[in-house]
Amino acid sequence: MREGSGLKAAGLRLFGLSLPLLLVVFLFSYLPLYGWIYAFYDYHAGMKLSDTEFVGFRHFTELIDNPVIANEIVRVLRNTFAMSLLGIATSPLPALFAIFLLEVRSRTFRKLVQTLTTLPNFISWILVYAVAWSVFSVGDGFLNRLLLELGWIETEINFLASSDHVWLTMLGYSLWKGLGWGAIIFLAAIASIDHEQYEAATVDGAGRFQKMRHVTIPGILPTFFVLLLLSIANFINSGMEQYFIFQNPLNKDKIEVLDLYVYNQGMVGQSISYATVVSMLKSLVSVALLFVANTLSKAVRKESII
Amino acid sequence: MHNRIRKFQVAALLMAVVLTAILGGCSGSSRNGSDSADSSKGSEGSKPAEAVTLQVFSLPSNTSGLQQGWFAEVLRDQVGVNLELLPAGDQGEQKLQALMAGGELPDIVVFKTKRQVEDAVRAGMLVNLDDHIDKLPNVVKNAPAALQYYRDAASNGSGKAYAIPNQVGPSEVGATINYGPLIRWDLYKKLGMPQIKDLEDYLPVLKQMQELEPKNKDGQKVYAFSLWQDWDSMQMMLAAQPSNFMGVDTGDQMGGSLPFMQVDVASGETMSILERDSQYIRALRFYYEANRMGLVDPDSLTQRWDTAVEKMNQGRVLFSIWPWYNNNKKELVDADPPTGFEFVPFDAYKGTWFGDNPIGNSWAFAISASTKHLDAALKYIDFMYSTEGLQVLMNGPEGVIWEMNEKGEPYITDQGWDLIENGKELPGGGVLGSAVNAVNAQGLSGAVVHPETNAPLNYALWPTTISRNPSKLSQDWQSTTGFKTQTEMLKAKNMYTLSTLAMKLVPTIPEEINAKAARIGDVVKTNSWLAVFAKNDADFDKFVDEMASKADALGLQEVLEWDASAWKQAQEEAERYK
Repeated sequence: MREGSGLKAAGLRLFGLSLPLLLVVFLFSYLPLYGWIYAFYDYHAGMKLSDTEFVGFRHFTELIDNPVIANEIVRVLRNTFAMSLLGIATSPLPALFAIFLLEVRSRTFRKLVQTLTTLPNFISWILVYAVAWSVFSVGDGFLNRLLLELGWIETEINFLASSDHVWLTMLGYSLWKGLGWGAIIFLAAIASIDHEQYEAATVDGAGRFQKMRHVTIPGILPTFFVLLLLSIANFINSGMEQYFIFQNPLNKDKIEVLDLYVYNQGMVGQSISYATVVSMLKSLVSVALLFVANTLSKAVRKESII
Repeated sequence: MHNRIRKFQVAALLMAVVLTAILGGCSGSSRNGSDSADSSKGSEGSKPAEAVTLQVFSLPSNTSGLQQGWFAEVLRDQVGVNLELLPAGDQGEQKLQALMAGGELPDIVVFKTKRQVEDAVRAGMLVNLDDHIDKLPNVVKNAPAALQYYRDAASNGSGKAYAIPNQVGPSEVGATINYGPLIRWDLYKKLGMPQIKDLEDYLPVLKQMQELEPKNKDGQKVYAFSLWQDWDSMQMMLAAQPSNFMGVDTGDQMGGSLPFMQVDVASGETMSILERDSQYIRALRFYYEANRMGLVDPDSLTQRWDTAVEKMNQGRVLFSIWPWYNNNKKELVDADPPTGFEFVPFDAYKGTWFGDNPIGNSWAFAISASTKHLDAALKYIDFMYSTEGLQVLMNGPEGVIWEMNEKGEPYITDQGWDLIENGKELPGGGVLGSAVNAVNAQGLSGAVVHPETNAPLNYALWPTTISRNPSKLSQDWQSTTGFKTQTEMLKAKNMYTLSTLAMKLVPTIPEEINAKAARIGDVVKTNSWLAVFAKNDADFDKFVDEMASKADALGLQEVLEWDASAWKQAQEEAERYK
């Protein structure tokens, strides 16, 4: 067999191996883009697309022409960005949690804390709301009852229906739910740090905190940055389940993120075509963010992602 | 040893955490949580008598799962079907959207509006009932006008029947009309029955009542109102209610078929509900003032209907909008002294009284074109429009709840009253009302006369029921007011507004207008609640003004123009039917 054909065969085999993945990428990332076509029609659920009216860019111009709608979009984007940024800003917390957790001497207590903090990850948001309701509601909430009983407050506090600090409370819920789970990967990363480093540090006379600072943190930093990059890539996907469940008229102004807005307009408001336009906007913002990140990367690391 | 104990403690603690989580979940959705659907089409064979399982998606329903209890047995024996209810509840409209977009509907669908029926017809997702009309003898016999009306008005111009409206027949008004207000009679009497001239006058009275009973017997705080928002579609549903006391529709009686338009039922006059002097804004102000006075449950914004009802049952609410919302428990209304809710109208009261209903209400039964059990579905629908079927549905099986007396009249037996009033389960499981509540829609009005018993279908309208010895509470109300029933009082004092035919004949809203209305609705819903919970008058005004200006910018005028033309058309059509 000649060399050239051997190379070819190897190339074909590699292509064959990657084909399933390419197919998956095509199926889940490119094919759905076909749905954008709904933005150009006056679509109504149940009808064939061909039976609905082609309206061109009407739903797009609506977005720009109508000041009320334009304001809504700005508001919704602001919420999305704010909550994503808060999420990123708190991304060191699981790492710190993992570090401090491993400093706990009692093994039983450590395991207990770990289990208790990991558990919420497996509870769905709807149950989280049920738990939140039983703790925070005014009439039956355990917390209000307790505070009243202790005489610390005169009237109950309405934790759930409040327009104050919505972003922070939402951050709180998602931290409660995700902190323990997020720490797992860092626990693994810490476990893989070479023990000789600690021993060497001990010999050099390093204390607990110095070991943390000079051995543990540098050891898990690569893991942290990978996760950070991933979360930046997911910037616009602030999720919707949590906000959907916790939304009420008082906090709606602050809680409505892009995905929730799309749902509220498309499914509740029955304007699927308009909701499609808004969700296209999401892709646009994503692409813009990507280019920003790329430029930054070029400037700082002198190499680009794309 | 120590270690083992600790492990056990840890395990116990974990179990406790898990349990709390689970219990928390249950209490949040006590009604839906327990009856998860365990069977789908696959399990048909295992059911006795080879009953077919029909999937039912009923938008008005608040329950889900495989229907169980005594009526499920009736359906299995007499119709050969099991009903598996898909959850609708507060997300019904959205789920309908998703199902429609998916291209298939469950076997039976109960729609809430004519608009939804027409959408489904246009998408070809419903069975043409006229093709199978020979299998619907009871529908043809008992609901001919309703059938014809939907052929004309909800068939996408094809002239065929695809759905049948519900509650067809004579006016169901018996002892009560559908509306209150009912307040805690015992407390009201204790206050010396202060005069209530107009809607707003309830507030100081309710405040005093709250002061009389600040907490229920379990030490939980009592409020005049405990609201919920899961019934909202294009506006705050509960703010559309008080206008019913004045004979004005602000989106409730016509099922929201004229979005954002207020209609004075008697005169037919209209205006936008977002104008400052509309009844809707008045209702918002009413709740707002109530909230400022500490009369509104702060959990109103975050709770659902289930929780609100639970609170009503626990005696934590003083004001009831409808007679079916408050729960006058037997042990309370016959206690010494009796406590419970009775009708207390204000002087200017003009409550809406629903007249005869030959073309039915806006909810409608239909069969999905993709059903694999067409015959069973037809049989079920026909059963829901048969006097025999509804007789059982509303009154339970003969011999268990009711019997015929020697004069040939049906009456509720003592055992029957015990089951009804104390909410006991019938043989087979479930309380009497669970049958009606499951699908929460019925073909015929309860006032349709059964050919064999010569009495109305619904036991509440039987002469033997009406002449029955009332509870201590009702006796007190009767002797105080001098009237036997709410309706007697309203008739004697001319304090009601009869609904008009035109209200039923509003044409279907076009898609474009509907989409606009939905978007405006998003603003109206949100700002209405914000206004109710506003901190001060300035805030209240701000939210109301903002609601109006945003609605204007989103095309309110176009919606109102369509409303006006549609209302005119309905009025003209009503003239023709006269």
